[in-house]
Amino acid sequence: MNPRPVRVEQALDLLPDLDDLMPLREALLVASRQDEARAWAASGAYGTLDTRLTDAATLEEALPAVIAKVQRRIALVYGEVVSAMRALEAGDLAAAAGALVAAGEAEEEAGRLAAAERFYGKAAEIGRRPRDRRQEGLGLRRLARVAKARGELARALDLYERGFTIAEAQRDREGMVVACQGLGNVLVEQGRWAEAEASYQRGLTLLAGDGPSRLLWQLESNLSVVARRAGRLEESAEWLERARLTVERIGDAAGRTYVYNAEGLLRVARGDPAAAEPAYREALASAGSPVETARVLVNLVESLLLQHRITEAEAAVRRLEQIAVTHGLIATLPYVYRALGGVARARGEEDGFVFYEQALELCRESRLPDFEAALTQLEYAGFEAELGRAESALARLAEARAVFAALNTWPELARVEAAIAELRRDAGSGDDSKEEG
Amino acid sequence: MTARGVLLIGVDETSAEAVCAAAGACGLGVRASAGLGEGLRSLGEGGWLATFLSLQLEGAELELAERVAAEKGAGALVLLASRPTVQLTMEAVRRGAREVMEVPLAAARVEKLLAGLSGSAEGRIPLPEVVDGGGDAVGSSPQLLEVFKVVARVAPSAATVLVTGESGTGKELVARAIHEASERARGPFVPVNCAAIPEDLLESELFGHERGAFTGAVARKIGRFERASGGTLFLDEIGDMSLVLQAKILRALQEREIERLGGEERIRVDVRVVAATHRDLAALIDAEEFREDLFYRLAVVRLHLSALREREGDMRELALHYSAHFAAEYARPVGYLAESALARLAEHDWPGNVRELRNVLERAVLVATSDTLRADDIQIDRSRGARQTGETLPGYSPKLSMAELEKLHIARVLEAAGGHLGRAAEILGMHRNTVSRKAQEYGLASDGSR
Repeated sequence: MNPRPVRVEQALDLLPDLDDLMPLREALLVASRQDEARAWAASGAYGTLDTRLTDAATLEEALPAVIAKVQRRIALVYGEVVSAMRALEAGDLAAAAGALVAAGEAEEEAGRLAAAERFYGKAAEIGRRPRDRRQEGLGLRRLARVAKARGELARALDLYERGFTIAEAQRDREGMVVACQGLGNVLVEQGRWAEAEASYQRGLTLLAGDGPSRLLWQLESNLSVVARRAGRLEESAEWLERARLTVERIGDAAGRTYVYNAEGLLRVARGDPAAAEPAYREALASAGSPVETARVLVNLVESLLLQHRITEAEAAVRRLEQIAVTHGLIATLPYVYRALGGVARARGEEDGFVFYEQALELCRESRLPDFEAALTQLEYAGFEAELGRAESALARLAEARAVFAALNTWPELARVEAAIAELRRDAGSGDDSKEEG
Repeated sequence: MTARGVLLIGVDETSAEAVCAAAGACGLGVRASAGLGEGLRSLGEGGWLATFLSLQLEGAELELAERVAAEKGAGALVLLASRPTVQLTMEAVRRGAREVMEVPLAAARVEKLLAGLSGSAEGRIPLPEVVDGGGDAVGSSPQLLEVFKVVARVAPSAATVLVTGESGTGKELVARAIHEASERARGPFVPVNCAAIPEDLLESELFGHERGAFTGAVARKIGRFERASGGTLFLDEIGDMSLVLQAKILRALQEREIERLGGEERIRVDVRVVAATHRDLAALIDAEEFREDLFYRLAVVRLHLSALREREGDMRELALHYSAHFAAEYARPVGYLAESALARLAEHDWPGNVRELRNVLERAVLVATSDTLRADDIQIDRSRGARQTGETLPGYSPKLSMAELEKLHIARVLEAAGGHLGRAAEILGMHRNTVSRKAQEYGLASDGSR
């Protein structure tokens, strides 16, 4: 009998939930393809990661590259441990801590956050002993970065603060600036604009007198983000212009993409999503990596949805899905499926609920931060509310509220509260013709 | 008013020569204005087919371009720039420019543009009026008319109907037509795509569930069977349903009762079922992947929708219909479909049938730059969903040489094209003679090659 390709969901079902199998799991997704037989079927529009096809032969062909990648990581990590031992023998504990940080970075790069966290933790512990404690500060900042990636915002804040204190005591100016930036980024996620702004400003003050640098444009653009999110759009534009000038002075290609992207976001905030499109297209043209392209596409999709250009939004989000799958950007996929859910919602397609279910499943299986799952529940609730399923929508909103409250992310919390209030108002108005049960 | 020709404002000498050559080829005159003032005066005379404005001219900014584009007499505004960026192009088009071209100009590109604008190169067909509520049941082929005759006959009965046909032929449209012509028309029409919904979710979608029936059952849910009570339930892509669910559907059809997941109550449902599939159910029955008893329960009346390529004349009618529909939906000033565009559409095999044609025309309307959809606006993705004669093959091995890969691919394309060399050549983007020669070289040729 000829082998038949299987659906990704069937193949994934074979794999036990082991960290060591994550590269294989990722390879399986990357090697998957759309089911061409469904290209024109009505169900083709509802294709998700799970319904893509894969086969053993294709996976087998990908194995040498996967194994080589794993070997490279192991060689790097073990090599850094040897370096740490050599430093220990030489009595250089700071260098030992530095090697452990490098080992953690190799793990973090591979998406192995738990392993990275342990190396960083060990580095911070070892780095506390010598007189030069800058590596302790670096270890704490790396720990904070991992905590933020996992959605543990309170812990990330604490670690950045501790990292800043160490850097300050060590007169490590760059360490202090990076800690300020990290703190600001976490505070932005929590919607604490004034505190975030103060943190970025502090970083900027520390850089005063230095020439243009990557850190400088990042802080300037971060200040633009805060001003935009706080609704001070003219100020946001001024900061963005400063960031653009810094980027041009140092000729930073990634910075150029970032600035164009931010320009698009600013135009959306000004209420003109159509005007954002040229900026996003320019950002896409200058994007140097799949991660950058994906980041811009997310915003382009949002602006198209805002303009109700549903067909174009769907095409852009499918392009984003392809990039995310091909390059293993799994964390982007929940957004992809929420956006496709939004497309289905705009078209009044009830079967679109499959996209939210796929996003939730991805959050569970790929152990993405709780924030992602909560955001999905929030949007899923909107989809269900529109179908008249108020009870189900309210249950989802309650779940989302619990997560956002625990993370202290008030912008999302405010969205949930508003959605709950609206649902209750509708129920109270007596229009329960579509109510279930 | 007859167009005067082409107006040039601030265009450099080399570019002006290119425009003159292109305009000459289209039988158009050219007037060149060196300065902005003179150019604006000429513009005021109106009636230009196209205006070329150089952004290198002092004082010529996008704001000016926007003003020129708004002038009725300017015709199509073409901006000339030394290094047009994506941002400039997008912004210029947003402000009303038809094109942004890089200087020095390529005469061929200008000629193509002017030929398109003047309509000198081809004939065009006016689009029909868009009728509100007209629906998408468009066509006059004998096959389509026969289907709708049967729809009219069977709709008033309570019989279940099985609609078959390739993907994209409009099976849901037929199901809706049956519903609307039936006595249940005032009741709900509830579609469910059985292949779109994962197996573990489909059962609760169809039959509903009680709160807490399983993890994630946060509230009671009314299933689609229950919601369709008094109306029609359309089970699309039923051939993709698992045997377990097929048994449950059969039971629901026989007993006219369902039970929500996690519930104990039997609930009566008064539902007419219309099912559809693009798969060969007889073959699935032979392979024991589809229940024969369910097949006979569903296929009391059978309707088959022909593929678009078999429906003489329908493609043209549908193309005009969708062009008009999307022009109205997106408020685009498209009023004609060029014969060349129709010819391009006619060359395609339409594996995705009406759904594919609809998508192609939607995109064409969105990208069109004049009042006429032209061949250049028609973009067909030939790689997508080509008709398949067998199971989807796994990806090509990277261990193959180019020659081996070419042999394999030509063999597959020839198979898909039914041995038709001309059709295979079209898919492969090669000359027919090249395909014939390569087929001989690789030992793929058969006497039956056409």
